[in-house]
This record gives sequence, C-alpha cells and structure tokens, in this order.
Amino acid sequence: MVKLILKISLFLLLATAALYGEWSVTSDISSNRIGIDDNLTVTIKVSGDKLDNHQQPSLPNTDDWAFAGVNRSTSTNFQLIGGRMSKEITYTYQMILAPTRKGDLTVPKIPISANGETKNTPSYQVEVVEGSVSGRNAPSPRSSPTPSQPDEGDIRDRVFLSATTNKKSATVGEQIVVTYTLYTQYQLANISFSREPSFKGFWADNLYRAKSLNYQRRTIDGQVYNAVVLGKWALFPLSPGDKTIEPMELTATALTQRDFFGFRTGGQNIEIKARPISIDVKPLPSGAPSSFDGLVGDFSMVSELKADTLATNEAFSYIVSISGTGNIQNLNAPKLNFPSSFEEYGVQEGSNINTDRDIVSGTKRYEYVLVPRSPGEFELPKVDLTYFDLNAGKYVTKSAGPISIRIAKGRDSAGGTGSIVSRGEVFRVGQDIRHIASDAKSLRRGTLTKPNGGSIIYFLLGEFIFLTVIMGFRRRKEKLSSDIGYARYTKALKRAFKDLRTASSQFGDMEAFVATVQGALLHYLADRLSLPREGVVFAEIRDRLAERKIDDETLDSIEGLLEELNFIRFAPGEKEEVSKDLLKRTKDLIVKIDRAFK
Amino acid sequence: MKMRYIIPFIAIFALSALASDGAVSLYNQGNSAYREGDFETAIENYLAAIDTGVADYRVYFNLGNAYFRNNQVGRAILNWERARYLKPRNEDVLENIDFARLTRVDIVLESEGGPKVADVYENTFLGYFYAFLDKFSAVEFRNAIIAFSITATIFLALWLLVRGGFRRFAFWISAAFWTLFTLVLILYGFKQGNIWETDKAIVVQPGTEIRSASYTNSQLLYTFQEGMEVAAIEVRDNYSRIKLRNGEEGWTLSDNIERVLPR
Repeated sequence: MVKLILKISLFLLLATAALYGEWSVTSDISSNRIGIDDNLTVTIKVSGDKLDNHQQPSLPNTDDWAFAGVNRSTSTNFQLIGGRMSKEITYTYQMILAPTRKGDLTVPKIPISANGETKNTPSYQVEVVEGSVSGRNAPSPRSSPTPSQPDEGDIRDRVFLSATTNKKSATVGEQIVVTYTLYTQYQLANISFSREPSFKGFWADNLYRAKSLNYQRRTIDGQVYNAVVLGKWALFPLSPGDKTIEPMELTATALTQRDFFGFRTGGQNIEIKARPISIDVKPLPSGAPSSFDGLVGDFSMVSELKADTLATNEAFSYIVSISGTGNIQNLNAPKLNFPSSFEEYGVQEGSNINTDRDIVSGTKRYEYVLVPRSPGEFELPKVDLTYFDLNAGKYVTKSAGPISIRIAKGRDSAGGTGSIVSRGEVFRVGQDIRHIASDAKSLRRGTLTKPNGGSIIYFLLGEFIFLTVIMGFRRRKEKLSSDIGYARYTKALKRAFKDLRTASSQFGDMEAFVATVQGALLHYLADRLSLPREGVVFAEIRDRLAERKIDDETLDSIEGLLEELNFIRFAPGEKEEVSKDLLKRTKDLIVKIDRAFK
Repeated sequence: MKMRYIIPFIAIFALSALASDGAVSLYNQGNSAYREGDFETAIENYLAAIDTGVADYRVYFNLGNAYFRNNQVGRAILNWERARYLKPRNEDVLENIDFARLTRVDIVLESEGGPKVADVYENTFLGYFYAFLDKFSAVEFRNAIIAFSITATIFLALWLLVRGGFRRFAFWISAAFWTLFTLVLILYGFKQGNIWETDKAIVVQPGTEIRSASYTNSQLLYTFQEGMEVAAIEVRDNYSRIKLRNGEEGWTLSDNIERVLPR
C-alpha cells in the first residue's frame, strides 16, 4: 500500500513537472583571451520539453562589446522511455561580439526568457590584447556580420568593389598588377560576375582568382569592413598612351532585412562596380635594334643540339631556350635561316610560366626539327635576342650560337641521278624511285599470307616415322645376325619356297627332284622347330609338331606326302605331271603348316 | 577407273595454267599502261592480276610504283612492303621503300610539327637482330628448316644402317644439320613472334587520327601522315588497336590502315 502511494506521488510529481515545463540554460565562450581584431563567440543553449514565449536573447547595454551578429539553430530530440514518448527542444545561439577596447573585459549576464520565467547566463571575464590572437574567429562569409543595422539609403557606401594597381604609369611591356577587392559591411549572398574586367590594350595574365570567399577584417576611414580579394591580373601594356582598365561588375544580394526574431531573412539586390583606372603608358626609347621584338624585362638564352646521329635524312632538333622575367608570353619563335639543304619541319613550342609573388617569369623553348638532305660541314645560325632592360633603361642584345655541325652520309646517300660540284661538296640534284619490273612470261602463284608452321611439323613427323622404321630394320638385322635359331625360324618359309623353285627345274632328274622336295619340307619343319637339319626324320618330329597344335590331319598329310615322294622315285612311266602335282601339294602344305605356326 | 582420279588433277592444272596466263596478261597490260603514264589503269590491271591468285613480288612492286606515281604514298609503301615480304633482298624494292620513307620522315602532323615517332629498337641489339631477320623471308626460313631436318634425318639413318668409317662421318654431319635446324627454328620463332613482321600495317589515309580509345571522342594522341608504319594487334568493331614504333599504343579506324599480310 505504501509502495503504491509512493508510485502515485512520483507519477504526479513528474506529471506536474511536465505540465509546468522544466527548462535549462547552458552557455560557453570561445576563448578567455582574444585580440582586439578578433571576435568572441558566446554559445547559449536553451533546452526543455516545452519553451513557451521564448525569445532570442539580446546583449544588455555595455560599452565593452559591440554586437556583431547571431546564428541560431534548433534541434528536437524524441525519446521512448517506458512506453512513453518524451520530447526535448534545444535552441542554440551563437552571439558574435566584437571587443571595443583592450584590457580585461566582462561579458555581462545575458537574460533568457521562456515559460514566463527568466534565467541568466553567467558573466565571463575575457582578456583582450593587441592585434589578433587566432584566425579562428575571423568572420566567415556565412557568418559575415553587419556592424550596424541596415540603412537602405547607403547600401552602396557599405558595399563596394575596389580596383587598385601597383603603378599609375608604366613603360610599354612593363608589368602592372591590378587587384580587385570586395568590401562589405553586409552579409552578401548570390554573388555573381555580371562583367569580367576588360584589359583592352594590355596583354593580361591572371595571377589569382578567388575560388572561395575568405573575408578578412579591414578598416577604411574608421569603418570596419569584411574584405576579400576576388582576382589579380598581371598586365603588360602593348602600346603607349593613356590606357583605361575597364571595371569589373558584380551582382549580389545584401541581406538587410530581419524577421521578428532579428534574423536576416531577405535583402536587396545590388550591382557592385569598380571604378575604371587610367594608366599612363610611356613609349619605349627610340633606337631599338632590328632584332627587338617587344620583349621587356630581363632575359637569358641558350641554344643546343638534340640528335642521335647527324646524318643525311635523319631528323635532329635545334633547341633555343629563353628564360627570364617580363612579358615572356609575348615572345615569338626566333626566325632562323638554316642552310638550304636542311628541310624544316616546323617549330615545337613549349613554355613554363611562373607567377610567384605576382611577378611573371618563366622559360620558353623552341625546338626546330630539321632533316639534312646533303652531307658536309654546316653552321646552324646564330640567334639574337634583344629586350629592353627596365632597370638599366636600355636595349640589351644576347646571342646564342652559331653551332658548327658535320652531317655524315645517311641511309640514301648511295646512287643518284645527277650531281653538281660546289666547294668540294657533292649534292644530289635529282632522285626518283626505281623503275618497274619488266614484263613476265609467268608469275608465281600463291597467297600473301605468313607461312604456316604446320608444314614443318608434318615434315618432322614424317622424318620421325622414317627413323622409327630404320631403327626397327636395324634391330631385326642385328637379331638375325646374332640369333641363328631366330634367323632359321624367320627364314624357314623363304628357304622352303626357294628349294621348291629349285625342284621345279628338276623334273628330268627324279632322284634329285624328290630329294629337293623332301629336303624343302623336312628342312622347313626343322627350322621352325629349331632342330638340326641333318638327319631329320619325320617320325621323330611328329610329336614335336603335335605339341605346336598341328592337327592330325595335317600330320597325316605330311607323312603321306613323304611316302608318295619315296614311291614316285621308283615308279615307272611319265612322272612330270605327278611331280608338278606333288610340288604344288607340298607348297600348299608348307603354307598351311606355316599358318598353324603363326 | 584410274582416269576418274586423274581427270580432276588435269582440270586443276589446266585451270591454274589458264589463270596464270590471265594474270601474266593483266600484269603486262599494267606495265604498258604505266609506261604510257596511265597509272590508274596500271593500278587496276595489277590489282586484277593479284585477284587471280598470284603472289609474285613483281606485281606488288610495280603496283607500288603505280600508286607512288598516282600520289598515293601510303598504298605505294604498303605494296612495296608486300614485295619485300616476298623478295626481301631485292635492291629495287629496298631502294623504293627507303625513298618513300624520305618523303615521309616519320614526322607526326600534330598542329605545326609534332614529334618524331622514334623506333624503340633503333640502334639497339634487338634492332640490329630484327634487321638481320628482315633480310630473309619467312618462307626462306621455313624451307631452310625443312631442308636441314631432312638432311639431318638422312644422315642419322645412314649412321644407323652403315658400318665402318662412314658411320662416324654420318653422325657428325647429322649433328651439324640438327644444330643448324635448331638455330634456324629459333630465328624463325623470333621472326614469327615479331609483330612488326606478322602484324605490320601501313597508314593509307592522310591525316589519320590515332586516339586513346575505340570511340570518336576519345583523346587524340597523334595525327599521322599516310605511309607511317604501325602494328595492328587487335580489331574491335570498326576500330583497330595499333602499336607505334615508339612503343605507345592507340586506336584508329580500321579503314585508315591496311595490313601488309592480309588476314
């Protein structure tokens, strides 16, 4: 019961607090020590779940600080705790204060009002010293403040564009620097160039162009401005007389209107125009050498040769480099007269221009590509460079070269259709292609393609097969000569046929015929069975033949044939026909046995 | 029965002889037109002769001359290069190629005089090596390889078969020819692996643009005179990827170049 009462009491307490709206104020300053040229930022945070009747804080009256502006931001946090949604609103103010004097200054308490209640920030002690302590507090374009409340009538006095030159008079070709600076006491938005500066009668080189607006505080006639350099150009007058640098023009919106809370919400579109500047351009003194081409400043020059080989029909380069300070951009490629037998292939120009410390200087490099057509000794021409030296007040001429070179005979120097002799040098005066090939009776057929490496592989394959056969042949030959049994076995059939061919011419001598035929058959069997040839008897080898799977029918045939041969030897009458038949049957039988052996 | 196999061969030889006669006639007509100063007709006749299937250096040489007289330096160099491929040591061909190069000088026409496209192999060992290989045609290399291998094989077979003092002689002769075979095979490999041998192409359009990629608005690298040598290493759509003598690569429309050895 007690716990329940306590829970109810706590809930009522929280509900009451929520109903009345708890809120808090915290504050801080950017630094305890700043310079007189710096700004101090006071950050104030007002937080609560409900902030009724809250107003933007304002700086109480003080002689020590000038109010230079304020930035406001709002954030809202939502939290879900115990199934309940809670909300907290936070207003953050960054008040920018400018110190009015040096010494120990006090930032007074700043009253904050909300929910019918007023709370104060604490007061802060700040030491203000001479100059600037840190660039951090320099105003940015976003926070660019107005030093005072807007006055619609004098906007143009508070925002202006200044064009300044480092010289009001100059000599033709002498460098002048023109700088465009924007001064403003308002915060500006939507800045754009409506007219770029015009430098008619000048050669202009851009030295600087602002990519972002980084304002610096400047004081002019006791007025504090935010100033930014928009651009800077180096100008070189091209001719004498009174010259005018036409102005640059900008359009911008000056944020001059404030809303109920004092924030800038709107402004006035304005045109900002710099005043034209007159420059008195003096002429260069008379008596300029013929090699003078308008160069003013201080320069040096070198020439060099760039070549792998100096030979006819081989290109090489003659390089002239000019360096110095002044209107080097106006420099033109020196005109050089090369020997007539040199073919010229134009000039390659390269430049490296520096604008360090707003002074234009650099190097220009001219590469003359040449192809000599004749061999011999030649001289590359001297190069003269004349400029007006402003410090000395006179014209100065510097020279490079001449360079002597020897051109050797190149790849085409042989042959020629004609020549003239001059000072010991031989020049070709005509050259042409070789004449066409004469008429043909036949032409080679084919196609214009790269040869197929496959034909090489086919040949190699054929050679491999050939060598394999040769090696097999050699092995067989070696075996036949070293293994008698193998030789007899291999040659048995061949020798038997040879004997039978001998027998076919012995029909007239029956004794010899029978002996030869019997020998052919029995010697064949002996060779096949690796038995001695001499004294071989069929009865002895019949079993050996049976072991070699010669069938009984064949064995009987052999036996029968041998008996017939014995019989015919002693039979009367004409025997040639019978002999031929026996010979044929013997041959067939040997072939049959040979198949069985295989 | 046998005639059935023989007749097609006879027909092929007969047609080939007729075609060759036609090519010879066209070639000689081309020469006549050239001598009369009618270079366009000469070009037509030489091209027609090539279309009949001849690969004779004289046709390409004379065609190159006709193009040169017709102020088409790129195509002149292209056909002289083809003639050189077929007859690499022919003096007339080499002279004309050198002469054409004098008129070209390998200068790039970028704005007012661009840089010379230097040869990365110039005055290097590889440069001299490839120049040596250029003195022989790929067909000569191939024939030498085949001849050396056949000779080496015959002597190897003799070494296997014969006995006596000749056997040793046969072995050393075979070994010598196998060495020559290996050496020439390696050289042939280098020659066939050199893109300036197999993929060489000639710029045939004046003011040919070499770009960084195969589309029109890519970065322009060079503008070439006709007659410049490049190596066409890849074809993609209507663009060819090419390599320059200075080692750089670029892309150009395939119509701007023509390969010395057509694919």
